Amino acid sequence: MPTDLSQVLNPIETANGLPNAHYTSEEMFDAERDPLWFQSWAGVCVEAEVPGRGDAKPLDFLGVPLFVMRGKDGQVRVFQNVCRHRGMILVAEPRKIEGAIRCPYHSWCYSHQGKLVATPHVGGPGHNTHDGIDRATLGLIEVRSHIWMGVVFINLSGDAPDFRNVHAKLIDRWAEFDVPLHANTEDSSFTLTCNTNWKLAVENYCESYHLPWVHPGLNSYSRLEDHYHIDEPGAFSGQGTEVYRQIALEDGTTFPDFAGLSVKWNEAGEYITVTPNVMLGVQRDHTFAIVLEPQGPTRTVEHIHLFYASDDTPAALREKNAVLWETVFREDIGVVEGMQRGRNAPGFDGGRFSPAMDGPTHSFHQWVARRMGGR
Amino acid sequence: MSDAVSVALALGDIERVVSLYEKAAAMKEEAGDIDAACFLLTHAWIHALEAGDGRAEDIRGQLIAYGRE
Repeated sequence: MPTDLSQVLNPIETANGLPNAHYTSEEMFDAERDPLWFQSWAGVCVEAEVPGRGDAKPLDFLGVPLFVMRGKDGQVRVFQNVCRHRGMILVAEPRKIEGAIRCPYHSWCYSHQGKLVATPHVGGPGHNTHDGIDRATLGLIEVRSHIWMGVVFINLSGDAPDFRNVHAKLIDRWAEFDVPLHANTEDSSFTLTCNTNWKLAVENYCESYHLPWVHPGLNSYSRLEDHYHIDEPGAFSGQGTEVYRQIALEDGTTFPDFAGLSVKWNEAGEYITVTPNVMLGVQRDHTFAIVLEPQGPTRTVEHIHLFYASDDTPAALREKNAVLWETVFREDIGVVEGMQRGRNAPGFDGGRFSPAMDGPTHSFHQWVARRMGGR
Repeated sequence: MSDAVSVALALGDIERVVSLYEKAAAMKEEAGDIDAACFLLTHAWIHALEAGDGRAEDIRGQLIAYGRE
């Protein structure tokens, strides 16, 4: 289902946004899987979801069954969630796997590193080897992964340039936040489900234009003019503020700062999307990650995780912060769902961008258009 | 034995599951039924392996000795 993307690739002054089909069509949703998701570095979860050795969690990555696991060696790996024997799903629910990963069907077993270590009765009852079964070639299929800012990124196709090269500029920009991040999945993680295409969540996140209208509470201290665009075409898009204000309890208690930050971060906060689907925020005393899980062209689950500089932070303050961010992110649902409904209007041509305010959004559209073969 | 294994599995008592299979395997071995013994040892091994039970390596050694692993 090719669409004309030439208008998207125009300079912002004359560009239109992506055509409606990119938001509404099942066929287009399927067509995006390889170029936008499988051939790039996409976020699938946060490292904190498998905190202990042996913790494993199944993932559905646009229909591809995967699981993430922290091995006995402490390393987090992502595997295709399938036994090399009969294709049975190995990990059906989050659990701790003390020993081998055993297939529930015929009990072939794999080590935490994915090596096939047991093939019971494969040579007949009580005979556990067979000349035709070379265990060395039948390990789990590991998916290339990289952890950054607490997020587990994967490259399913296995042939994308190294994550550190693809995102070198952003890694450098936020080098001061490349420190241990402390998550608390009990009280600092939540999910929001939106009846919208995943791209609209990204687009809304990339721009500050909507802040005074959609988030009037934020605008009371963080005005539109206090924000700046972050726009690295082909790499990342977002926005920043120059008046970040720390959240505090009534007695003035605040979160501890990340160690060693430069003065810039005293009042700065930055909010950037790592294409395709990870929306990150950094501030002096906490960061957050929103991992978008598309469940179809018109449905997206946002998995939101807050991270702190220490494990020792006041629970009441964490709760207050989680409520604050959930309130902000819920305020966005109305607009991303509204834009989704709007894309059923046959006369909508992708929309015109504000040349002054929509640069990061246009950059994201161009990233999509180029990867979808637009010229 | 199968009833006892089923109960232990239902209770999640894998240590007992391994013990039951090992005991049954030893009886078969004593009776000279090596095929049956190795079948049962295989089950003891796999359950021990999954649970991270320290007996797994010893049981595997027995299977290797019989040329079954």
